[in-house]
Amino acid sequence: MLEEQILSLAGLLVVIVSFFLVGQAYYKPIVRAQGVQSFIIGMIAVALYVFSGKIDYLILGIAVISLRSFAISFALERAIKGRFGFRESVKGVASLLIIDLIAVAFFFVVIFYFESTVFQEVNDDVIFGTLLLLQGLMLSVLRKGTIPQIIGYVEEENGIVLFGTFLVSLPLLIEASALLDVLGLIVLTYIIIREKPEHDNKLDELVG
Amino acid sequence: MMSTVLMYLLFAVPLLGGASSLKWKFSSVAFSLVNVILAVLIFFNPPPVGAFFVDDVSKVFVVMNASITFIVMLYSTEYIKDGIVKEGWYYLLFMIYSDAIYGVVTINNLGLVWASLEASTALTVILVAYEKDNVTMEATWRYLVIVSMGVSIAFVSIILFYYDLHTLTLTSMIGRGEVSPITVAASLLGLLGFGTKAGIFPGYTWLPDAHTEAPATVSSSFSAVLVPSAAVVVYRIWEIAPFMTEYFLVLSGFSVLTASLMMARQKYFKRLFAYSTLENVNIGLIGLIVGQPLGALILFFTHAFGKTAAFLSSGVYMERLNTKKIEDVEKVGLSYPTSTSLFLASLAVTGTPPFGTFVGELLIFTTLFHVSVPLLIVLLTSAGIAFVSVNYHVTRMVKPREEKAYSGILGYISLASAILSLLVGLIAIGVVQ
Repeated sequence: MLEEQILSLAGLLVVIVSFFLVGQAYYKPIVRAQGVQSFIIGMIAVALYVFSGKIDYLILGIAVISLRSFAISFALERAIKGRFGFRESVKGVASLLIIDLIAVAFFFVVIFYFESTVFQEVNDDVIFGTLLLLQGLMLSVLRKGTIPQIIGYVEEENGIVLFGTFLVSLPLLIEASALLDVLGLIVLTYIIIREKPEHDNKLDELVG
Repeated sequence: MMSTVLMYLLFAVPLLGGASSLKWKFSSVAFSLVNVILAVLIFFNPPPVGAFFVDDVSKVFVVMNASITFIVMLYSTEYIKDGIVKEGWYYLLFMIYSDAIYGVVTINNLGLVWASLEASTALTVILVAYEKDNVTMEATWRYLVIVSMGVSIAFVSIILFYYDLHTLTLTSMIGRGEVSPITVAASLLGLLGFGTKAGIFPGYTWLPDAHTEAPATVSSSFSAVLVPSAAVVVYRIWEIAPFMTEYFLVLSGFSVLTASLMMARQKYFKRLFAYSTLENVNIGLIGLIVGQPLGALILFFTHAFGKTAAFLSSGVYMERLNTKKIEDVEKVGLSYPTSTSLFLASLAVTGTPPFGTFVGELLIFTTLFHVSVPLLIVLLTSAGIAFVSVNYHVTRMVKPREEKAYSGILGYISLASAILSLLVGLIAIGVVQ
């Protein structure tokens, strides 16, 4: 019982951090909040190892904490250093947060209905993973800046890890491939951010 | 046993070629030629089902990937200079990327197929960004974000498949015929997720951008190999959940229609060919799904050579005339062999007889007549629009008001690829008869 409450509380914390990410215009806090979010998810996997004794969870937890919480945060902080102002040059972040809250409330009802009809015998905490995945997509779609968009992608991947962790433990090889791919893409993002700080969407060659 | 060794060699040779091309760029050509030989051997002697799953579709795609990589490497030695990374790294990344594609079409595990497809994205980001200007970086960013997020959705489908079927081995997943809400959700997410990379609506928006801005060699490999290989993964998802046929056909049909409508108003020739890729690959996928694998494979194979010729010719135009605009080439164009190559490529990718694309499309449309007449009407209309659009624009390019002479090796490599597409078509007609 206590174990379930710990996991549910951690899942809830992860979703709360995702709201902070949508409503934050400054880059550095976004990067760090992503690090915190990944750390909590890694700790959830470690907790599952403690509760179940499956070594796969421990390896996954360590990999998530070291790669996503530390390595990705470090790479992104290095990338924005000296290249950007302190915040995204977009107005109305607060109103985006309200849109996001409404969307999440709607998603919650839909997902809860879906889970109660399809996944009858599944841990209710799966909903946190699904919500986080959708929050990641929302962050990338709602925000125009390079950093929020890539954080949205990392958040989406975090949602998948959380979803997979609560639903079914995948073979470790597949999990490892997914983690390494995300790390590879972040390194590439670092290169792109260094070469091109912000986006110009009015490029004639990329229209139509 | 021998065939399994050949498979491991198929994966090892590009790694060696890539590593040695850091020192000597021509080694990528030599090693990719070795892979063409290995691919042909595997075609006639495929490995038994185990770690690999090499059916008729995979066999053709292995040969296709090896052949196109060889042509592109040969062209690159003359075309590629230092870009966002040193020239040697271009060859290394390209060769490892070709390995990832072998993994996508041959590995017998859906999770590792996903990992290979995601790796192909990571490996090609630098290749797309190679020319490093502002527009290129924007296109690369769109490619990275859209494809990564799409393929992440595909990973959710893999989790759901594993939860429901307790395996990710393709040969164990295919043919079960189990209908459950989770398999329905997994196959829909798989269609949307893998479909992003396969050029299926709504996630295909990255494709015209990346094709326009990547070097011609990368665009040709994307169109000829990468996008069709992702379509094979979508086909595998359909094989796992064949009861979802309508969803697959509707989305692919809609992709063909929207792509052909976009072709008419294009101002940039590489963008025009990118939309043509969407059209051809989706018709090929529909062919596989409606049970016309011969037509689909002929279409994929000849389209690969035709589209390679189209993009490699475009590369010569861009290099010599320093433009990507159709109207600029209409004023000042290029002479034989590049103009001939572009014209033949245009005929090849629009399904003109006697090119193989014509044979493939004819077989698919004939089968489709017995499956869905409304979809057949949509495809015939779209193919007609695409034919007129591509050939109209290309005719403007090959009949310029002023012509610059260029008889370098790049034009002849493009021409050879276009002629190969024609030859395969003639052989296909013989086989079908």
